[in-house]
Amino acid sequence: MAIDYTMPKLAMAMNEGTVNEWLVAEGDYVEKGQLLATVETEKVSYDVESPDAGYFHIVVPVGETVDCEVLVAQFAESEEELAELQAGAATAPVPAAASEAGVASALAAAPAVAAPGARIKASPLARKMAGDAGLDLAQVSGTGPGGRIVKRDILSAQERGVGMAPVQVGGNRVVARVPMQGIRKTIASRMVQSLQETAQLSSAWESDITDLMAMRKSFVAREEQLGTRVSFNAFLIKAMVYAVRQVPIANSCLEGDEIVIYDNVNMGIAISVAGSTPYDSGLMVAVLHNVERMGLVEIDRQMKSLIGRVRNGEATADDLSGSTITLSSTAGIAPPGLKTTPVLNLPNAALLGPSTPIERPMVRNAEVVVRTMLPLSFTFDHRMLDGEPAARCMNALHECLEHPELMLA
Amino acid sequence: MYDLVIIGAGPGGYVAAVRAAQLGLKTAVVEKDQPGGVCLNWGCIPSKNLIHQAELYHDLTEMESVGVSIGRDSLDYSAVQGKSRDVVKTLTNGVAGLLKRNKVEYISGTASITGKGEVSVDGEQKLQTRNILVATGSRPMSVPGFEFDEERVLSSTGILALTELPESLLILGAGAIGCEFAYVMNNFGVKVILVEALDHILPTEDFETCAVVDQVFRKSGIDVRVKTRAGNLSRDGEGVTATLVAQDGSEQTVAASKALVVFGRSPNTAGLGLVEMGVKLDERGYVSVGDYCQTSAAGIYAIGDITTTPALAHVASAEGEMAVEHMAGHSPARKAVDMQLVPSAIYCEPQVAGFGLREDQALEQGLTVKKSTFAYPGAGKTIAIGKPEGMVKMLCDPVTEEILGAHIVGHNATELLHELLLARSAELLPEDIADMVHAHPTISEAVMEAARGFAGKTIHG
Repeated sequence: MAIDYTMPKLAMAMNEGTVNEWLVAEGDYVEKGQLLATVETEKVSYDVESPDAGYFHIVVPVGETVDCEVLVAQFAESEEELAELQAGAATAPVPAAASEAGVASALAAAPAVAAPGARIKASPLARKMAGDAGLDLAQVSGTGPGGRIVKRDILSAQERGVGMAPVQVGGNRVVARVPMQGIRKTIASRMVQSLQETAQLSSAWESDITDLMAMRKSFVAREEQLGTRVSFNAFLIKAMVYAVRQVPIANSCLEGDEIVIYDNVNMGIAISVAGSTPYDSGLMVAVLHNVERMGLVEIDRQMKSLIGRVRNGEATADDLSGSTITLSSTAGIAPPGLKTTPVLNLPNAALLGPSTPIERPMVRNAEVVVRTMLPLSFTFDHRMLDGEPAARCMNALHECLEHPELMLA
Repeated sequence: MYDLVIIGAGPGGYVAAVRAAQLGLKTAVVEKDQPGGVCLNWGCIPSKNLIHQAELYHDLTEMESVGVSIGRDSLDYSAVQGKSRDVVKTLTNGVAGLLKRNKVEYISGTASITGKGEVSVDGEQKLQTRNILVATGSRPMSVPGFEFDEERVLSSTGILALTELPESLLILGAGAIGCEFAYVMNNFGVKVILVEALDHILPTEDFETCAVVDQVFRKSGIDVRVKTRAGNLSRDGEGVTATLVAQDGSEQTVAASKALVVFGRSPNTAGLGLVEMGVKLDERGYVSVGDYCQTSAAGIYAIGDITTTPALAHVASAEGEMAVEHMAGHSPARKAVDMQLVPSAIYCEPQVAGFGLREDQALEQGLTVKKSTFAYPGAGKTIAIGKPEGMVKMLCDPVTEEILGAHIVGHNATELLHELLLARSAELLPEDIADMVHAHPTISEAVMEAARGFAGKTIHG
């Protein structure tokens, strides 16, 4: 005799619950105490354990919300009993419910849940189109040979809005749950720490990089001789070295109760990396040591190999520590002209955040001309750097970017 | 009183007649020539027999390489011709038998529509009918300056009746008929010049598949001239002379024993009483039809070459069946034959077959498509039988992977195409073909491989 499993009442205030995930598959043999499902209430989600053992038959599909004590699954004693439960399911609310689980899974599970003879006849193309559109084939009538559902039926159903999974009102549909752990957790705590423990502020301006772009072009044209296609970031790093030479305190860290100002420039470079799901991202700061000793080509080469190591998970401890100042660029990703307020990378005193260049009419020699302008943000820790040195540092950067020959200095 | 009188017993008319009889309609077919129409008598069928014999003749070369020598001098082309007429006779008799077995009344004579529901035969016998189906087909298009005399300036009919091989042949128009006869005549040792005004031979086929035919033709000695028009054609001395004008304006005079002029076909819509009955014709003389091939006059249907759908026997047959089903009160699945699902077939070697979207059309219409091609030599069978020239090409929708078109060039292409056409019409996806086990060694393996190409996983590519 099959044992019914109903929506458990997991808290006093719980009236209904949603099966967010069945942690066992239809037909699996389940042990008592095994994790059975993730059930979500209005407030919390619970992993529930199996109160019984047996062959598991799912009645309520993932995503469906039901009142407490409503039948959601059954435990069959034997495989025969399981088959009976599955066959009987055709008359139970399964077909309609299956639609909400998404057509793809409904199709995959069709032999298990549909009664004999209830097979949906559809062309492979129609199935694919329905799957892509999230259309429930059970609600589409077929006009093809032998009543088969064909492409035109899918198109007509889409036009009429038939068979689309109903949009739930009240209650969100979850795309993914990203666990706050690992790299995500580290980023979160660092960001909060940075914003809570420092007196950071961001200033923004634009520098005319028309000449710099032209200069870079002549490097790019000699890609073969130089052995690398020198990136724009290499020039930015060079300009930052120039600026901190003018204002050394911008190249410093707060260590204990000391501001330590460095001679060497270890460039922290913020890199976006893949997250744990397709929906989230990761952020790491790779460190290019002693950039003050390098020419543009070497900066570029070493930066690329460093980024490669970080992205491939081959970074050494040195590759990820010891920065004295940070570069965090959103160029090419952000809309042109964006000015940001990047969060300081602790324990550095300063961070430069260039964004995507924008063409603007500028006055040059009393004439309006089109120039390429780079939006820049400079975040600094006011505990270490006051407005005056910060402004001088920004100005030095500005001058170097507008007069790239200063990079030779 | 008939339920249906059909004018013309070609592949449109006789198929419609059989289907009508099956559906219980009292049916008569009026034919002024032989049952089977142009297709059976002066088109598809005799030409296929000539192609077959030309192939046998050509294959003698291969036999010679293994020591079997057969004299070519004794070739009697009138015997070749005789064989093709025998085939025609067998099949026309077959059609006559088919009509008889299905209790379709076959009436010999020239029909015209003389009143509402009235068809006259030779102006004498009057048939009363509820429905009329006009299936009178087409004839070779005659162009001023290139008129047929069927002696030196031949139409497709004239060349099918030849009892002697010309020394050389100038073919104007490299459509299906032009290419098939270029192949036949070249195989029999006739010197052939093949002229096409458009960019490539077989201009209504996929350019990539045609390029293969072009290459094989040139290699086999056919003088192929594309982007070239014939400025004029005259009878000189024993043969013909033509001025060929290339696209760049340069002119060249060529001479040949005979010319085959295949510029297209004209609909047989005159003298049938169509206009008098209120049937609308377009400016070129084609019948305008609506749903289920109904004309603008109630009770009169028109199918096949006299409408603007492609002049293909299988289109006429399909339209005929659809029209009579509609008359019989059935509701056919479609109101018109879906041209995307109509195959084309050209029977020279290598053969060309295709359906649906072509790559040049996709480019023209700005459609994004996914393409997969697989060359014949990747299927071992083609090497084994010495037919490595060919390819299978498929075009699919980039999102749904729906098969939008397929084109095959090479040995047996006209038979091979149907696997892909079935896939298209049954809405199978490339993966369905790719996952199906195909016998080895077959040329069909090339079809499977082309389908696999969409997933980037050909085995022999």
